[in-house]
Amino acid sequence: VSLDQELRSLLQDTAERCEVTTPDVEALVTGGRSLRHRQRVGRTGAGALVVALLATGVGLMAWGGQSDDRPEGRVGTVGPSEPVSPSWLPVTPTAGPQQADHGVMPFFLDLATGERTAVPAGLAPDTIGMSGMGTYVNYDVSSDGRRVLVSTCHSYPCSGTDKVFAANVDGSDLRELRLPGALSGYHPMWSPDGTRIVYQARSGGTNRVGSLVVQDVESGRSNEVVHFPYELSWWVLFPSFSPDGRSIVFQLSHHGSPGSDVWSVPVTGGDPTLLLKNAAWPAYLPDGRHLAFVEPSDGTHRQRIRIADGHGDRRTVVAQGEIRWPTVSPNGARIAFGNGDSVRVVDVSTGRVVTVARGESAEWLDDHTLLVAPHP
Amino acid sequence: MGADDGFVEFVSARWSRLFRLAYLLTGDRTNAEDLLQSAMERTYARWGRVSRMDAPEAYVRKLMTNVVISARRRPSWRHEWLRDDFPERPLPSPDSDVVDHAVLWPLVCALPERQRAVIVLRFYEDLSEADTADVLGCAVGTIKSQSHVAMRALRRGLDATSLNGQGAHS
Repeated sequence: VSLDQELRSLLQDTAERCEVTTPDVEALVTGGRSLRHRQRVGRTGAGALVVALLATGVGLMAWGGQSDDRPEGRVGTVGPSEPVSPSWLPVTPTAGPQQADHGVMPFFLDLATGERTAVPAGLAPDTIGMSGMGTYVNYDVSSDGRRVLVSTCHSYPCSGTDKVFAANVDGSDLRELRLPGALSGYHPMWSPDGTRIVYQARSGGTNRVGSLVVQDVESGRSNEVVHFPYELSWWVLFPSFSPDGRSIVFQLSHHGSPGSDVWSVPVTGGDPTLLLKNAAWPAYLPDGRHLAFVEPSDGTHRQRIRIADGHGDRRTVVAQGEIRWPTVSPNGARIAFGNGDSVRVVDVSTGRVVTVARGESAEWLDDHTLLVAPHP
Repeated sequence: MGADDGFVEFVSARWSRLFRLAYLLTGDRTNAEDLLQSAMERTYARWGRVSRMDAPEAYVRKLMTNVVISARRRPSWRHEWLRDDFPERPLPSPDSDVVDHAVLWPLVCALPERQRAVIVLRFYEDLSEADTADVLGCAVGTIKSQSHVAMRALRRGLDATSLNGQGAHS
């Protein structure tokens, strides 16, 4: 039997045995329309770019020789700043513990028993002067489960007064992070060893993206690892550390069209690397070899939480209408996420989804307890 | 004619065939779905023009093949398109005088993307060397050399596995 014949037979058999998926025509059409729009914007942008180049005489700086959807402008590294000393200011909460008003105030949720407990003063936005209509609350619990980062994100137009706080889980030892300059800090996340945090620093009240900053918790020394010298309509980057603490993964919106891509940058700074196209809300699993993300990233049609292994393999964990704020449990077995109405939890291995509470988002306190944030 | 006329029907009619081609090009169902979905979105974006072609399916096929090949060249896509590994390759059946597909398929998957695309287009799509060259945007001579190198690699791979078994191939 010739190898030619064997190959024909093999390929036919393999193709026939392949289980064909059902096309999601609605997603195809939506994606195609988005692409068509981007092509039009790209053509317009290209024309404007030519005019700009002719006007300024400045050469186009291609980043790594590639152009599609890459950020405009030079993305560079800025050296360590002068330490901000002291880096944290003690804060006294203004009110006592709140009632667990589901969907209104944050609360702890025991997934085993269903018991709900109001968060203590210091972890509730209104006790630290950060509440208000349209205010998203973000939490991140340190890997040892003791400290909680609390931050807010005002929906557009931004107030420009967003701050970063840290407190013990019981609300004690509340401190406000001193940010370098008059900047707002968004979506702060602990490093795996709890010695550093990463956040997005930007001037409030504009759509300027700002910078990703890694700041040492004790010394206050900060390092701007990426600077984005432009504006985006959706500027939130959602950075987080890799489990080995060596890199930061974040999302970056497209220019002039919906959607985003997922990038990685070393904590010491440098050129970011494109990890996943058309992806959002990245979060490493604890093994550091798998990355959970949401696609498609434009949020306009059926979204999926998927897991990539960095070697080409991706699998879908769950498909929903809309997916926001996915967070991975400490043991990597479950992912909590919001859908604009409720907080849901999906089992990574089985794909089984359970709606656990009304709310906007949730952070894992441990493998069985969530800290549920209310709707803005 | 509207911009979308006939697209849904085209997808319904051709999805299965193109999905199988995508699977053979990528060796992975998830990547195949991503590849075909991406190609279909691009096709939709240019459907007004593509729908007037004699064979819109060939347009999608060309898109997918070139994405797979260019993914290998473009560092930014490495994380999405690295080939699956096959750490445990089965041995040929000791009593068979034909090639065991369980042995040959991993070898095909292990070929570089361009060689693999040539093999798939020639032996699954049954394209001539000239048509394969047209899809890949290269000379016929390049197809011949790529095909030769790929077949040699497959034979060597089969020989290597035969050292531990008694499979045969010609």
